[in-house]
Amino acid sequence: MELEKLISHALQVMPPSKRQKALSLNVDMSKVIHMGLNENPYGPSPKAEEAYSSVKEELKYYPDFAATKLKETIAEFYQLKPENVLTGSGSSAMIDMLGITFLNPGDEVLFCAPTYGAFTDMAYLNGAVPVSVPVTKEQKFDLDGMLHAVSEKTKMVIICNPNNPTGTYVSEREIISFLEKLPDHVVTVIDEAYIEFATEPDCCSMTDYLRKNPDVPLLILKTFSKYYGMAGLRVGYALGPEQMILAMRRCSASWNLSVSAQMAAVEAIRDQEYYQKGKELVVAGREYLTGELRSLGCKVYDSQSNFIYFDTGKDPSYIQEQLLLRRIRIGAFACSRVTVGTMEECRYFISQLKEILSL
Amino acid sequence: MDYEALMKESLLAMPAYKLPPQLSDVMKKYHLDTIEKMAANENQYGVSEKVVQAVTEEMSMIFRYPGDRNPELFEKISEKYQIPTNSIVLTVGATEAINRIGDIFLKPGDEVVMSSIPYMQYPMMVMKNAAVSVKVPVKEDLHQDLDGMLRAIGEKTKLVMICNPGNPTGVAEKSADLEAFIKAVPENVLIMIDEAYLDFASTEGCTESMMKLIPEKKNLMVVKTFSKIFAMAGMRVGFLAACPELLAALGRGGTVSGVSRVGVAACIAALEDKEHIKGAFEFNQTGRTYLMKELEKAGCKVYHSDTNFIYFDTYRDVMDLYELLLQHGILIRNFALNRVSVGTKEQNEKFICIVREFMSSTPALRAS
Repeated sequence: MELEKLISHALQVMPPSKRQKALSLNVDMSKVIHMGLNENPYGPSPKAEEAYSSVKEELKYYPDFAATKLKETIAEFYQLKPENVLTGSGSSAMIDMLGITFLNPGDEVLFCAPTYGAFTDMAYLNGAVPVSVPVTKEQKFDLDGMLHAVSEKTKMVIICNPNNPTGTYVSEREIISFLEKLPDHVVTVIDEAYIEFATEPDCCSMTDYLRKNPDVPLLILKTFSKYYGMAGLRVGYALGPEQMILAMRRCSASWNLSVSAQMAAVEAIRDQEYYQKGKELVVAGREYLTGELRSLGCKVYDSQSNFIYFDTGKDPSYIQEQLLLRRIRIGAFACSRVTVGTMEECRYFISQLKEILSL
Repeated sequence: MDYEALMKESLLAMPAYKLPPQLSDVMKKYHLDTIEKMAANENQYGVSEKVVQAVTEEMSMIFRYPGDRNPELFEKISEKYQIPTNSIVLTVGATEAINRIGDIFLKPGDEVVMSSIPYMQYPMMVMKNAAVSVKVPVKEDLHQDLDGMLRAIGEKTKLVMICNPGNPTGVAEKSADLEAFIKAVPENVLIMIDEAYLDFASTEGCTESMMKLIPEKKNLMVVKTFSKIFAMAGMRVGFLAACPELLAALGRGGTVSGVSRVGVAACIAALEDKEHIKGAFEFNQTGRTYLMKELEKAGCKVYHSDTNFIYFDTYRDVMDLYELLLQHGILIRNFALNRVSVGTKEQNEKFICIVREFMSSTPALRAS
């Protein structure tokens, strides 16, 4: 059988995914400190955990496919309508649905590089063309550069804010001014996976803008994997105009969220107090790491997320490998990326990096 | 703002998914305090205590992405279904498997061959990809016409989809016939066998999984779910089995799996508790035998079920029985005929009582 002939044309021409791959060093991963995937080590609200363990009687039944209660809770939190909310099994599912719903073959998807790799894959999977503009010298999304790159074929623009893997942000004012210059045929997607960790007053969610401008083709992606400490549960959601959310409901992934994930997510949103405290810890860890990395002579980009992008002057893959041999897993891109762990983990990381850099 | 202009052209023909009515709305409409769900083929035997324990334990790790325990689950699946561990990919229920096949392989205009009474998600998936469903009429007693399906394969055919045993029919095909069919399909056509309900099958010669053909048939995909015999519909875990090359194609794009780590832990525990699986099988067997026998006695035409539901003809309007049952607090599902899921002993008996009353009080519309 010639498998290549069976695969859709879009996939045949798609290059291999550039997303992070599993490392193949001989290290017992169960003993490794995970500072590579931007998880939140403080975990979810105890109320979310309780909600989950109380569902054992419900497991045999299909979930509420419409995720009614979760959508209502999210809508209430952002003062939107449930019809503005789409849920799915993690941001990956949300991004899949974006591609399936809006991209025609030949459409251009515009973003800055580096950013979250799933958007490139989304473009290829749908026969669309990824178009990337480099980030600025400060590793920020270059919105002016993106505006120049908008063409008749541009169907979707992506702004990851704060950006992954760089941790940098663009201000609300800059995004609004960018949005208002875009032509009507362009869907704007703001990936706000990390925005709850932001502390700068002008690093804010576009949910206010969406509420005031319900007729702008804008979709905001959110997740329970980061701030809400539930990466293992796989819950993501999108906020947008009713008609766009309705369009995305043609995808089966829009009604396929487990009962337990729905219940835990509802309780998590309701327990903001718990997460405020967790945020303080993450921000303290972020400040500690930023300061210490700078003292070690690294170039550190100011982060508004729960990870830090930094340049040691050495090959990021080498740094990643050396740290893994010392039981710490971090990310390697054009620079290195480390997730803010617990304070103890952060201290251990700094001590080990210090040794590696002095080798 | 013209939102339709923004949408993918091939998607415009497809309506948004119509979700089943909210239970709370149904209960309000029929003034019910409780409702017996015999509509969605859920397994009333429930999950094993070991699953509950595994779920509770895994919660402490929920801040971590899933994946680290997948190899352990692949081992268990491999052991139960006798397939290599490198031939499995986890999916968010069978739903994700079915849809992913379409997203990856179908292009507008491709033909997909299926039975004239398919699992309802198949034609939806085909429509989403602007492909074309080619439906082959079922044979006597609602058996799928495998020879007819072979004949229906043409130049444009990309995929054949078979649910075995069938849903909503409940009817199983002979394993030998299915095996011969799979071997006869040209290798440039993909085959998807959906075995969601096969763990409930008991008819002699009809119980064998087609997963055994995966090492030799590179165009074969078998879809499974943990929603049925393992009673975890709420967890949304399924898997797709195929040769590694085919799985690599399906995995292109490297999407992070939507299966939760709690789901993975639950499935490992479920596969380990062999006693519980046996209990669930017997529970279903007892309920199914009772329902089939009593429905027949009440004057219905019953299609032989190898699943945890029964498709039956009352020769009366499907809506009339549906409404009467709802007035008594029982929810079933209607297709061309009525379909009832096996319930608890009490639910089954209550259901049969109402059917008897219905059959004797309502005149038939068609001859039996």
